[in-house]
Amino acid sequence: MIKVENLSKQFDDVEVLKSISLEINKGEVVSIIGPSGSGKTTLLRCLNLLETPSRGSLQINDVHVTFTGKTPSKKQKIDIRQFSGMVFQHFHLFPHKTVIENIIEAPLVVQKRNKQDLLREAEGLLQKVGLLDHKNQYPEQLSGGQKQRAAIARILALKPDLLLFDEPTSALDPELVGEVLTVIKELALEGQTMVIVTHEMDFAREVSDRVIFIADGHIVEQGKPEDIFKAPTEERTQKFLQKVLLRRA
Amino acid sequence: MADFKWEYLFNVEIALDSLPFILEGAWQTILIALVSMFFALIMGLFVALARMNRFIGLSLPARLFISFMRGTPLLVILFILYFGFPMVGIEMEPLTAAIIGISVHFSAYTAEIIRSAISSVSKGQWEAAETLRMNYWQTMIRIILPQATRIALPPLSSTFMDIIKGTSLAMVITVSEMFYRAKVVVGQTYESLTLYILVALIYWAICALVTLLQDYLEKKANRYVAA
Repeated sequence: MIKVENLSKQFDDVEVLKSISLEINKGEVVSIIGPSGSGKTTLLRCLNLLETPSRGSLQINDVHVTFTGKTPSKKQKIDIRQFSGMVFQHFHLFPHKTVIENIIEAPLVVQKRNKQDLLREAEGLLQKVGLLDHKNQYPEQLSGGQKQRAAIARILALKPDLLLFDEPTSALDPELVGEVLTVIKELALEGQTMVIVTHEMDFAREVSDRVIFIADGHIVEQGKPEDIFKAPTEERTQKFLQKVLLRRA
Repeated sequence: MADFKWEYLFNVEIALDSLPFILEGAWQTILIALVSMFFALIMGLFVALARMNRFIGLSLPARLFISFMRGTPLLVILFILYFGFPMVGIEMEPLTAAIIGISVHFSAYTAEIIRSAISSVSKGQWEAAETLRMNYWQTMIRIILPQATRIALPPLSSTFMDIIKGTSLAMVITVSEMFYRAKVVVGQTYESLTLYILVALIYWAICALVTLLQDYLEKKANRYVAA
């Protein structure tokens, strides 16, 4: 479903991603872990062309884009983004719209669909993320966990084939992390294809089909979560996991 | 000071007598201000968008326009339009010249206000809209401008008051707005202090109404912001 080949990203003099190649299959849940500054988020943003890769190519379904350093055309961006949706660390809900207005906004404006149908669908989505009672509230009135669940419902309204999560719980108070992870786990059970950049190791272990460890812009190691977490083969991975697990203990 | 009389300072009789004539001018003032504000907002929006455009063919002229308009007195602009342009065959009514001059002059100010308001909306809003597949204009109109409006309201209200007060300059190109009429009455009655105090109070009253309008609009625009 997704094929990334030799993808590189340069910011001025710094090469943040160094020739990354990666394939993700339909229905697969992939977690990306690694130290900060390793390029995890940049890789995720490249998959949605929020960042323009410097070199390499990206294919999602039947859309193939090759990067040569130029900004992709509008059409290329639209073509790539028709399949994917992004959930941000800081939610980026539209503050001047209520929760349900946030959810119907894009299908209403972009897909020009019938508002009554959309409202009905939106209520279903809100039910699913446990926010039906809050549908007429503004984002400011919600807790962080509620905001993130609303943001997930908003992107689900577009029925994306691929969901990208950029540290979806990193901005949350610890006691609110669980409610967001529960929603993501449910999506995993439904067979939603997802790529998740996360620092939640237990969650990554539990929900993922595959874990990718990135450091210094490289994929250092990838594999089934039990292999990566119990028996990492690369020294870099071992060190990282040791640090993370030590900090927790 | 023994023979001081209050009517030297403010002659109520003259003030009341001339009030209908002056108030007719106040309507002119309000009309010019409203129409000019309307055009200044629309032009300001487009100048701001041009100024923020990556394409230098748009941003540079916008920068030059803002620089020129902020760097020249409104009075001079009005003179150019009304007394200068006829030299090249462009003649217009005083009222037309006043509205064009005031709109164009103040559009430079509204452009800067709108630009700063737009850029103060977080970049995440653009990114969220982008990943929701909304295009530039959909994002601008439905997501960015409503939030920018909230930020721009107080400075735009100030600009509106500047416009209201700026209309008094239109008297020099013979527009019969409020201040022009005050001068006419002074010419007949020699009650300069009374008349100028009277129009000062009316300008103040109009601007006070703008403040009320601003309060109302701010309350409306802030409804989604937690107290």
